[in-house]
Amino acid sequence: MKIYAFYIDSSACSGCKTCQAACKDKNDLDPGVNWRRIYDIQGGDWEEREGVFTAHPYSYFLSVSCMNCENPHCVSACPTRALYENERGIIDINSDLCMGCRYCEWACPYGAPQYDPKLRIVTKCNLCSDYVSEGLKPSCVSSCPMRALDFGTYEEITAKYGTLNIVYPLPDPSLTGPGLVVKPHKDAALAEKDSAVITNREDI
Amino acid sequence: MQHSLVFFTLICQTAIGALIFREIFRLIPGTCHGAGIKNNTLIWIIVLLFVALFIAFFHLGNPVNAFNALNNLQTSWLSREIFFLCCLITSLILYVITGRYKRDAWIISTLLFISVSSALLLLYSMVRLYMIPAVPSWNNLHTPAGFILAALSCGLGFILVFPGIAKQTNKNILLLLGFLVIASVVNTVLYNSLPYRQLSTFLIMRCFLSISAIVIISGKYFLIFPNKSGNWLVIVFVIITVSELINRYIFFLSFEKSGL
Repeated sequence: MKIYAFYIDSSACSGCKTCQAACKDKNDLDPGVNWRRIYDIQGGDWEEREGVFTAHPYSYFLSVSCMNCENPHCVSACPTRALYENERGIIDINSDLCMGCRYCEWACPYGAPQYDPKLRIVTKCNLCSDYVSEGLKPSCVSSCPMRALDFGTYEEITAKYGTLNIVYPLPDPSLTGPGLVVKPHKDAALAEKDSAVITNREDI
Repeated sequence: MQHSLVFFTLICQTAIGALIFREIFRLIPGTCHGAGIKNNTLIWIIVLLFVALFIAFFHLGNPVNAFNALNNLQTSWLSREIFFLCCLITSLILYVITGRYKRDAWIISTLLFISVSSALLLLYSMVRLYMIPAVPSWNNLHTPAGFILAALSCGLGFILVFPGIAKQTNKNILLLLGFLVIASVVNTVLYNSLPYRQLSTFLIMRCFLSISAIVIISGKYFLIFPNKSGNWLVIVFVIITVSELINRYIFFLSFEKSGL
């Protein structure tokens, strides 16, 4: 059963990475360890008409973190039980158990488990579990200047925003049942048709 | 790219294949020199498994916590893989010890049954471990085909070369080895035709080595090459192993996730 969900308004996201910075600040993450990541999807083509070239470029952003899935592949794959569902129904990690095999990284289609080379174990977003227990929203959500992110119980979020949980290039939601509702950018359907690319892989 | 996983999987599979063929040869008249459980084949297989286990530690970020690897036998194929590897090593050691001290036949048979079952379950766990739904480049039939063929071809090569349990002149064994090499390279070629990362240099090297092995095996099968020493078997085994090693690199380098 899905307990919590994020809402991502891709049409409003400007890719400013304030959410990512807020997450790193709150959780004291080293460079290269990004519990929240901003994917920059770009595509487009040219059109020639009577010797005149017209460009049709497009670009949009997706802010992605742990989706607190209903069927979390990271938890079932973890051999040490370091990844577990805590008492509030949030997928968390017990770093005392992790042996750094990184199998959860392979298993998660959203790239949520992040290996920390300094600690030599896997770390991951826990939806700011401490904030949530105080009735607050995760730091990424409250920091977003565009109000492109929201967070709440799955019922609250779906009642407010609907149930769409797939947009290019997110994986098939039937794989893990993500706690996610998304509002796609107007060019998302075009991006899927064109197989548009993620252009900032180095940042992620 | 984790080199330790390449070596771990291939060494484990070689040991599994060697154990399977050892027992098959013991059951088929005319293929075995009649060596029993005192034969040092098992010692070599145990050494291989220990080497694999040692190498496995190199891919862990925090090996101090490796003892937790058995915590999730309920759902994790990695836990199960380690469990069956431990079962295999333990049962093989006990099998060798009980054989040497001539214990009751039922104890020896039970330990052998546990060893072979563990070996097969270890191979199955390895296959399932890599058939990850989020990794479409691995979640296909080429993964089990590649792992099983690697186990059989390297295992057969190993058992022919090291302990010499099988009669080297047996033509049927040569035919089987040739078939396994061909099947394995065909699987690689088909895998490389999938729409994932293409590794043409590795593929060419793999094909070249496999063809070399097949030429030597064919030469021996049709008695074109003189049959004075068993050195050619060592050469064939080395070629097959290097070829499978390249194949395993192709497998790991083709890693491609769905989604993000």
